[in-house]
Amino acid sequence: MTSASINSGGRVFAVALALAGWFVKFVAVVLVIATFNFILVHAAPGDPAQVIAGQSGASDEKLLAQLRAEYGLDKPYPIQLANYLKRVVTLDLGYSYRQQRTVASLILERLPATLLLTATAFTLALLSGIILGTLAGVRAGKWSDTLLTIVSLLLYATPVFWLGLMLVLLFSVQLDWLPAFGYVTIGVPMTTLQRMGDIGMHLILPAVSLAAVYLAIYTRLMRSSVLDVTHQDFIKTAKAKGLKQGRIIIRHILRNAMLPIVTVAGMQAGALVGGAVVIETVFAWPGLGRLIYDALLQRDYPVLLGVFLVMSVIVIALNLLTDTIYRVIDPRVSVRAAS
Amino acid sequence: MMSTLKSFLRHPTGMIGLFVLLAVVILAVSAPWLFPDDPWDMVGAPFQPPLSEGLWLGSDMLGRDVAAGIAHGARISLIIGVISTLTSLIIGVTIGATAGYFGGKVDEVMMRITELFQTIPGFILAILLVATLGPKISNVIFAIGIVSWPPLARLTRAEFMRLRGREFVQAAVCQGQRPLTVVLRRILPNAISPIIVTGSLAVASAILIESALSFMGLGDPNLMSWGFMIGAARTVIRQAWWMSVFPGLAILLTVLAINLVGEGLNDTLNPRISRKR
Amino acid sequence: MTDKTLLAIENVSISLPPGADRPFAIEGVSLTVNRNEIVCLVGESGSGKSMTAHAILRLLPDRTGVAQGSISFNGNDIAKADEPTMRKLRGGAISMIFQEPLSALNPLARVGQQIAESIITHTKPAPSREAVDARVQELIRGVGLPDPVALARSFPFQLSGGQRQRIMIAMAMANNPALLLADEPTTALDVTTQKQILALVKKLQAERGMGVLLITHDFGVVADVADRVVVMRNGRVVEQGTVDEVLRNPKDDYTKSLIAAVPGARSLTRTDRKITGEPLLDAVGLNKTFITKQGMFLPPRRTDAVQNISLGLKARETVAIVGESGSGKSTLGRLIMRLIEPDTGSVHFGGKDLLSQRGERLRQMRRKIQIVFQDPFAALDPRQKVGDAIAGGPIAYGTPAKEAMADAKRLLARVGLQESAASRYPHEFSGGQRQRICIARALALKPSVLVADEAVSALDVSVQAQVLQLLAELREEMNLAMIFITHDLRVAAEIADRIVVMRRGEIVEQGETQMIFQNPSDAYTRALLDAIPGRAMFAGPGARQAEAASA
Repeated sequence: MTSASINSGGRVFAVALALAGWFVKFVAVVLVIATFNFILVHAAPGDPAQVIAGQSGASDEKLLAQLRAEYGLDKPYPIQLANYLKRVVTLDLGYSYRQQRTVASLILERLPATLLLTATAFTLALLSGIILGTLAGVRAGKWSDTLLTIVSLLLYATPVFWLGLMLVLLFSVQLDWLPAFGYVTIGVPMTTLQRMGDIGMHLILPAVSLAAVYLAIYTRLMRSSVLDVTHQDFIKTAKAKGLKQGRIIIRHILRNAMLPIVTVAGMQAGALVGGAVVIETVFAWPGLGRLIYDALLQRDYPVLLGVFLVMSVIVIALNLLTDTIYRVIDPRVSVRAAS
Repeated sequence: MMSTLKSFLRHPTGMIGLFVLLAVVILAVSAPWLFPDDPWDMVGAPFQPPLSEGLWLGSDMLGRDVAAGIAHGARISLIIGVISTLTSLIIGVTIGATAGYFGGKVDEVMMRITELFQTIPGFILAILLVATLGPKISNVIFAIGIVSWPPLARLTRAEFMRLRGREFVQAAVCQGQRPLTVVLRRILPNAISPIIVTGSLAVASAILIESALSFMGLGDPNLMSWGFMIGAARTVIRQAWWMSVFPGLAILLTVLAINLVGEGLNDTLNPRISRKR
Repeated sequence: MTDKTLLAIENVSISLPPGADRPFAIEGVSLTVNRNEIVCLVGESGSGKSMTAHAILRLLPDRTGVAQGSISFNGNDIAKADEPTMRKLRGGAISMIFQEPLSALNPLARVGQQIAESIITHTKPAPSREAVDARVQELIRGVGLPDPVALARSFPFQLSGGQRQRIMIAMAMANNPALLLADEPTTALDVTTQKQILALVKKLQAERGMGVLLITHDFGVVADVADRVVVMRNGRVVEQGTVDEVLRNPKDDYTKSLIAAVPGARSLTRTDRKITGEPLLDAVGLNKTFITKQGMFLPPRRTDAVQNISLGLKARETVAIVGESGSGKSTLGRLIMRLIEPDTGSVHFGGKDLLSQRGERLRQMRRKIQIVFQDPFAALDPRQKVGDAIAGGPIAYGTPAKEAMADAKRLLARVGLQESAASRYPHEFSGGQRQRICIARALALKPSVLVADEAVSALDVSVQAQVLQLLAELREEMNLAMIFITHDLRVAAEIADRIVVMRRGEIVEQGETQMIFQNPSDAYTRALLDAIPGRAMFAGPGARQAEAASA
């Protein structure tokens, strides 16, 4: 094994390979979900055309006939599936008869809000979890560690929507520090900067509620990871070199202990995105989650399925992010281009 | 077995969790006696605060007894939690054990499927399933089971792969033990501990998912559940804080208790081995 | 204490936390290390030798501490010094290297950067980047590694075990220490690498006039490098003196038994064993290549573990397969047992080909070949009673349970344990005892071939000697043929009739034990023989005769 095999060129190549692998995964997931959506529409009780039309158009015979022709519902299944897949590839996610708009336009309108919420919560949970977990691990056994453990245990057991409501109760109703719901304060003219600040204020409670559970998980995980790493031989070597404790923690323990947390964060991405749906319902946050909630009430299937697809893509994006972070930190993975 | 039980009895947080959990179970079981009326019945004036006459925890916007709702809701949460976890255990352990034991192509296929299910946002899939198939308790259990099996499969696979390569398993093969005997008597008993621990934690997570589904209006409309109560309380949170606080506390305590029991099990079944190995 | 004394440990005891199996890790230990000498600290596991060295730099685990005594370095008592003083010493005037170089280096940082860290910590004001880089490269050259620029940019996982240990040594030399503490620095390395590393340590010691405290369990290493020896047992010093004194005239009984237990010091193989006849087991043309995937786009990595190996084993014969790591010896053992499927080849045994059998016929053939593994802790099911583990084999082949249990108890007694052991669990036994249980389990099926896969490598040297003795007795009693896989030629010399030397999946040389030691024909075999620690004092038939001839 030559020592020259990891130069910067080699690592770039390895990352490129990893990206290619992700692309393949992405395509596979999209195909599977699309197929699943298709099965679901046909598995639902009732006539598929009625399912697609939703509550609004269910009794309109002309509409149903038009739908049957458009979606080719009387053709054999494989052809229907192929048609559906073709539409997905051209980003045609269907039409919402209830809202009289294309699903794609509905989703595009709501996407930024969800991205903002999800990204903020994800970053908040990961960074805070790493920092707090390190603190707890380094001070293991002291009261600060016990306090963090108790708080983590409580947060981990708290239903995410209830936490949101309780935070609203405290910070909005009682203390009136933060707005209770929505994205912006309506009716007040603002400059761009003021608007950003306003959104930020509205973002705090939802993001914290969503992040809380994952923060608890990552804190506890980081704590035990730090404890594990502290007992490994290379920490003893670092001590034997005469390094100060602070430097040992930052330069040696932190990077190594972070690895499992990054992996878990990737695996939890799906749950986080799912949690965003609930949080958006609680806080009336105008994102994809609210879209799902409204579509549920109206039994608007094209919208439901379209949002499902897009949210899966968000999860893949988060997975890609954590995977990249992992590869940047851990050179062993770059070379072997793990499957 | 007995020695494990005895160690657990000495585990402080595990025992606390166990007591709280038993209290919840007793509440659930005795609900028909403590609160003989249907929790959907109106028994008083709407929006009564806690400690009003006969209503310890107050009443909701239609005059229903919050305490009765919590007691009856306990049954739903526990039943759904346990049965859906059993479902995901059956699916997950089977897939994981098969993948871990046989390896090769079988493992690859199973792992691709598992990865796929983990990439899809589980909660949204559950929403879709319940919305499509109809909000009945059986569909809720099915949906939660379908969504929760991947971590169990991964864990089982990891354990089986680890044990399959262990020398005492190979020794058993050399001793002439048949493959089924090796799996059931050598591998499984050694793999079961982390599976039990993860399974108990899965019950907690199932209860959380169920409550979220009910909160969004996807629970069985005939069954009073804690999540539904919180969902109903959302719009009137300023007037009647007790409608959302108490059911939420109930969920929190139950889930916390289960987590403590799970951690107690983890500590007793897999004692911290010394650093050498 | 004289001017030359670098380190003086006087009457030191280290307390263990309550609940440990003894109150003190070491008790009343006194030893000195002078300038320009190598002191070897020898002992088995539990002797406290490692703790003693860790105490010097105060690297002890939590809740242990120096309870009494003094540790003086250059005349100053450092046992009571404050933390900033200790930090200055660590990596400065006193350096330490550890046993397992892969886990002793930060896996995520380049090795050059880790060496640089040592320099920067101890040089005030901080030197320039170029100066540090230059010094790092100088250090890497100084430990015999080529291409320092590229090496400095490597990560630990890209280097071999020997390269990593050299990097550790370079790191330790960064600030020109007066005292070097080496905690079993070669135990985890191949024997040829061990020789190079020990030579490097000796060279650096001579060049710099350092004092070195080298911890080891191998008296062969002591014979090769030590100026003085300290022998420890159960936390106390039992004997110390110059290497000549201790090795040639040991006074303490324990020291004598340790020296006698070094493998190769006596031979268990009589030359009149009369091995004749057709081979009992004949492996022909075995091939195994391991293929590991490397993701979706890279070609898979191929490792040729075993290449076209043929091996014959006669009845009652013991063949030792000797090789270093990566030689394929363990894979070969598992192929013969059919615990791994070979790519091609056959294993003829009792008239049939083991590798083409299936199902019940395969199961029946398995009876006659049994295996004892290396790791006595992993080889027994922790949830199964010992008696059940041993009787499980015969029961699986139809022996009634009562009879199988009675046989199991008899076997336990024969391997030196009590019959009551049958109802106890593995964790109640020591490593050596567990290995005996594994031997009993293998013999319960009355095999004609026993494969011992590094069966004594994980044991302390005195226990190792006992288990080898046991195996030698049992093979006579039960007419066993043995395939003895080991990395240690000295062990092979003791027990084998024939030695097969493997390297990178191929057989390099084979022949009778005497022949291999006295007249090796292959260069690699010669290198292996040369690398045997303490060859002059200990290593088997050829060495002693050569010594006698030259005396």
